[in-house]
Amino acid sequence: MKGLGQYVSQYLKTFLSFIFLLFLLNLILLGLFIGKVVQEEYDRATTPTKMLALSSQELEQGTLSKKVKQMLKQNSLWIMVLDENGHQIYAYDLPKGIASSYTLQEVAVFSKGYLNDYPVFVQSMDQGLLVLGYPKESFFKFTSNYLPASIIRSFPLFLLALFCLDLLILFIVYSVSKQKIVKNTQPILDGIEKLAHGKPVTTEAKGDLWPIAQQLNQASKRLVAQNEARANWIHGVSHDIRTPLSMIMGYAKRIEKREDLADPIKDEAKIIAHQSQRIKDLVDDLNIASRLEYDGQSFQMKKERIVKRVRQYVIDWMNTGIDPLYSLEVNISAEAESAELNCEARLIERALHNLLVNSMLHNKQGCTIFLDVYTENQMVILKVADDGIGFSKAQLDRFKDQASVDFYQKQHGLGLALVNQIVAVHHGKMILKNRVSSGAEILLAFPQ
Amino acid sequence: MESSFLKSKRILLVEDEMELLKMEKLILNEEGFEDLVLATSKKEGVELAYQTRPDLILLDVMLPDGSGFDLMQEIRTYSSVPVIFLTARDQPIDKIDGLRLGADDYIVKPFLPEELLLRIYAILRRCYKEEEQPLKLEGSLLDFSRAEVKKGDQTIRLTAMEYNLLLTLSKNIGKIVSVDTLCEGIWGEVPFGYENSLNAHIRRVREKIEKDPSHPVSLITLKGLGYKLVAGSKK
Repeated sequence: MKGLGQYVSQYLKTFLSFIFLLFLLNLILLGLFIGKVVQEEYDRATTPTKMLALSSQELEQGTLSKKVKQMLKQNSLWIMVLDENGHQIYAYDLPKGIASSYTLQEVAVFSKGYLNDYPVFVQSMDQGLLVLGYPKESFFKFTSNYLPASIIRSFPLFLLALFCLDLLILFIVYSVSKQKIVKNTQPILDGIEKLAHGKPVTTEAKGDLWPIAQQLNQASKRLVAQNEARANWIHGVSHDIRTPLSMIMGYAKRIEKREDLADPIKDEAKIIAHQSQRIKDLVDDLNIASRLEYDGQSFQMKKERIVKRVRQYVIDWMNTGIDPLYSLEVNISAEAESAELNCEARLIERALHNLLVNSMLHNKQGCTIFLDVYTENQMVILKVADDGIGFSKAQLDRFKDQASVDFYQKQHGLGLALVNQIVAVHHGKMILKNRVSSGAEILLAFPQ
Repeated sequence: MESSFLKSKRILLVEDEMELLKMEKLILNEEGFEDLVLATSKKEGVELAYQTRPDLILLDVMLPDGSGFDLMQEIRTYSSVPVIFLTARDQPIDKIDGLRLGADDYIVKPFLPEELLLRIYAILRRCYKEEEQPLKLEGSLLDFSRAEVKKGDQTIRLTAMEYNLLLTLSKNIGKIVSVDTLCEGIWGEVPFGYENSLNAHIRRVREKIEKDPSHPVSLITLKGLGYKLVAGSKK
């Protein structure tokens, strides 16, 4: 499903942007922190650099001023000056254990680090070497503060490579997690999609999504049960109507034909017979509609020479006797004669029946009905037209507007709605229009 | 219109709804079927079918003590009598069940009296061959037993194909027969494309049976559908 992939991509993009922003924020905070520490250190009067400069300046001019001595004392600092042979020539406030003479090696070692664990800083001056000592553990000194030039030179490249590697790792993590999410959610999404189309689903999902899958299956079962109940109900009602309707139709027809009865009585019987026929049509439509709606699997699609079925249907219809107010003109093209459709012929017959009945229903004054069967662009066209009153503009507009449910419900009952449903099951198309001269025309196009 | 031969056939009606049974009887009686046997349950149906040996059974599917399908299967053990199911059940699966078991036709309620008679006649004609009576047309007389047409003083022989064609049409006299049915009657199960040959045969038949073959009154064309044989007016 494309939507999910996009959704996940979007989600992960947001997530990655967030990580990047977080990283940036950390960097800024760290910079601010270091900046602040450095600033504080810089602002302090007793930094090694400042103290060394101050002391050396005063010692070169003679001796330490009172003020400097006070600074040293307050901060537990001490000072000594060694001459070029390593002998102490000046000292101030030396802690215990500090020797008074040093070899060249000793000077070399402590000048970079500690003297008896006291962090010391040195500066050269006219008299010799100024050594400034700080209290123990007040400074960390890096005793090996060097890097090969090659490392310094390749550092930007290294950083770039590191960045690329990070990107690669992130991308792999992203792809894998995306695939995983899609894989885990796909069955559920498929299930929801099927359910949306009213099809039963059995979704299997493991892990965290298991409860959702279960609920989906539950919903599906419910849907199936409801559909079955509805179909059974329709089936039951239509079943129970049929026997009484047989009697109403049978007796009404008998009365209609009795020669010993007065015409008004026979006319009324004719109305009863006609209306019973409408109820019969409705019951039949209802049953087929229910089957199409809730039982999509039960069709028996078969390759059929459709003209033969259509012709036989029309003949049976005419042989049972149609009202002389109506006449039928049939035109079947030579190509249509041989055309085969993958269809359930009973349904096509029903569609035809409903179109014929529709024409008669809307033209009570009588009309000629034209049935044309022909082929066009790999389609078999079944056209039923009449020279009656035709559709109103409002009806046609409603049909064009695919909120056609409205059209059927308000104007045409189940008949045309069922035709549309039947055409849809056969992946065909239904077109309603008015003939140029007069009357209605309904075109059913079925792909061959 | 139909021959008394078919109307003399014995029909067993099995229907638990008394009112409907009465109506079926009425419709058939009025049509001229006198030999009717009535049953209102499966048990009664089985007994009466065995005792009276009907020529046709009109059978309701849902009976209080069993299904019409079961009833038919019991009868099938000793007889191949044609059976028409009359039922309120209309799911396609039922139809297949019924026809697979050897039913000859299937009428879904509600039905019109005409429809019921049409189906009964169709089955009877198919199953019981009538000794062919000469058929009177407007301008001629068809003698199927001799495969001849008598027009005025002339006696014209019919070819085998013309005979078949007229026989099929006469079995449905007054009714439209589709070109497909006619072609199949002559050439057997053929795909299509025999309409032109059929036209040629129709033309020749008209020359033999019509007074004025270019203005036929007995063998009528229904464009796009088929043909109809019209019986002559009684004098």
